[in-house]
Amino acid sequence: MTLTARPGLASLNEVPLSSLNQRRLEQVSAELRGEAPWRDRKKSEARQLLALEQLAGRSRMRVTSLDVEQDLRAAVWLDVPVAMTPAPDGTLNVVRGAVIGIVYPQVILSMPLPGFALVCLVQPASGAYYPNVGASRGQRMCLGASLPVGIPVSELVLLSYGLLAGQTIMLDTSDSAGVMHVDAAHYWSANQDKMPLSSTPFLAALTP
Amino acid sequence: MIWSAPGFREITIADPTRVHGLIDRMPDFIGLTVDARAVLAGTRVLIVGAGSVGGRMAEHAARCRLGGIDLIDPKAFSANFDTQPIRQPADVGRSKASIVGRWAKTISPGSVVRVFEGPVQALSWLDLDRYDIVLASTDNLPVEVHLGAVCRSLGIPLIYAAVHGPTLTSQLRIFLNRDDGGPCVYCGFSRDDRERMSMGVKYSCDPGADPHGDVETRPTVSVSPLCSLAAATAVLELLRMRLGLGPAPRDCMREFNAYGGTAVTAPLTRNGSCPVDHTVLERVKVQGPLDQRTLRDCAEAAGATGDERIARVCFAVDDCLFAWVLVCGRCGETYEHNRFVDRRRQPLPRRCTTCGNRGLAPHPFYSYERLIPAGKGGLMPHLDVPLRSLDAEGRGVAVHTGDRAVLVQAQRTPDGSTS
Repeated sequence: MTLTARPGLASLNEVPLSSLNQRRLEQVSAELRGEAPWRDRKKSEARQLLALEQLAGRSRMRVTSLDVEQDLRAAVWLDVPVAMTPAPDGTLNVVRGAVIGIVYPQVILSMPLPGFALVCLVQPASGAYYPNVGASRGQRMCLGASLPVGIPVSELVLLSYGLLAGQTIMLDTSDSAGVMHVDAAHYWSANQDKMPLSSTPFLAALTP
Repeated sequence: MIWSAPGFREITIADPTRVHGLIDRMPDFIGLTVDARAVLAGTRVLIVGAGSVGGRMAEHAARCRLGGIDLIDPKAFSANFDTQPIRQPADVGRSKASIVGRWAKTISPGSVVRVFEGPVQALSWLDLDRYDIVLASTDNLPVEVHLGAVCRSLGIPLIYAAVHGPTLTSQLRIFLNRDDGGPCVYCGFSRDDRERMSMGVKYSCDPGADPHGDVETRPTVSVSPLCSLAAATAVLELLRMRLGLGPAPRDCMREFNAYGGTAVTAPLTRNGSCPVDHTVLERVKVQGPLDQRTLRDCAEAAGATGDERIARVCFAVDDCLFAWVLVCGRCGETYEHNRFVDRRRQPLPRRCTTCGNRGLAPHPFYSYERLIPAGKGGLMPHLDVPLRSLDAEGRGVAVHTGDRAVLVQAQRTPDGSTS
């Protein structure tokens, strides 16, 4: 019997890009700025992001904008339920689909950054109701106590998906890392039966 | 809580020692070609860390009568009399920077001594532009990397002093920061250092809290003479550099091991795969106040002319980010802004017309934190608008043209003004 290696998150670099994504990568790469190691890294991260889109399928994830000129900046649409501010009677509103904005600066390659530093929820533009999504300042998404040096962009997408799907959630308002939306933390503490909003894995298509 | 813009506090003493009548023991150094006293009186040093090593560096700097001595340390003295330069029990629990600064001022009343009791990351990169040299002694790796990057971009020599108690070793790392080809602090980090740094910083989830994180540092485990040795050799290097004594300085590491009495000097070189920006900015001065100049003026001062060329230029203005969208902290309403925002003065005191909330902040995705590509960041329509009208102070504009990286600043007159 021959085992066929299936493409996975650990081998994003080996996923052959579609001709469309290859063209896209070449287009944005023409604008690359900075010193060689940073340019190479941005190109590699952009390629992995496009490979992740292919792997996940465009019904799960779409890279709607990509810019690697200075910081790597990407807007990514995700098919994921998004919890919105509950109705006065406590009924949770859920909308389908989110756009996350990722700004990946060079400094992340040498310094850990706060968990809320790199990703924000662009759409829905307001009203997302999670303990780890700030109600103010552009709905920054907190993906952990700190983001380790060199965390890959594709991992930020997965962490964001887990956050929005309610698969990873921080409810403890007394934790030193804190939460970004105290009301939401209280709501979810009292309504843990509603979690997760979706238990579908990000790469559902690849899951046996 | 809003992290407010920090500042240095000048140390004054009520009863300064009389400089008149002090005995002058400055030697006639061999090979000296400059007026040593005048050069040292004109030297401004920043000392980062005022503990076991940094505190003694400040004392030596004062005894050398440096003209400007600035000290940074966010911490207070603990009851560690073994290594820290504590002069009396009452100093325990008090700010290291203030205690050491006061002592330095007492030794050298003619020096301008200023202290800042906060993290160095809280200062703007342009706040460091006034120093001739920076001496640092901290076991906080993120501070090392941050300080190294700022000194590098501004072309300021940086000397790190450190000790390793168990092996009785003192170490200096000297970064001259002369050009893009030199090493940076991160170039020499081992995998252990990188992992330790990655794991050792914890941030609060509250974006309004201290943005510099809580760093797990380890207290100095050493002996007092070793700390003194590291401090003394750092200040000796400063003297050598400023007075032009001995062989030309170079990027290197100097170690002294007290077990065998051996000293080793090893060159520091750039690591080709280092991910940190190694750009050292060239300096270009323009006449008149910079806030009355435009981005086009700055681009042209850096050699980029014509809209097509300028569209490929990236700007970094003061310590500002450029926000083309502001967002209301309460209701999420967004507003077009297209102006600079001082990152230390957020949120802006502008009222949301939807909910009445007073406090709009730059949208994290629709703003540029540092380098703003002119063609993409929405700057092109503002090329001919004075910086002041775009809410920039005009302390300095970094212009990256692709061929050159230039810091444009106002030419100062002898009285310090720009007009």
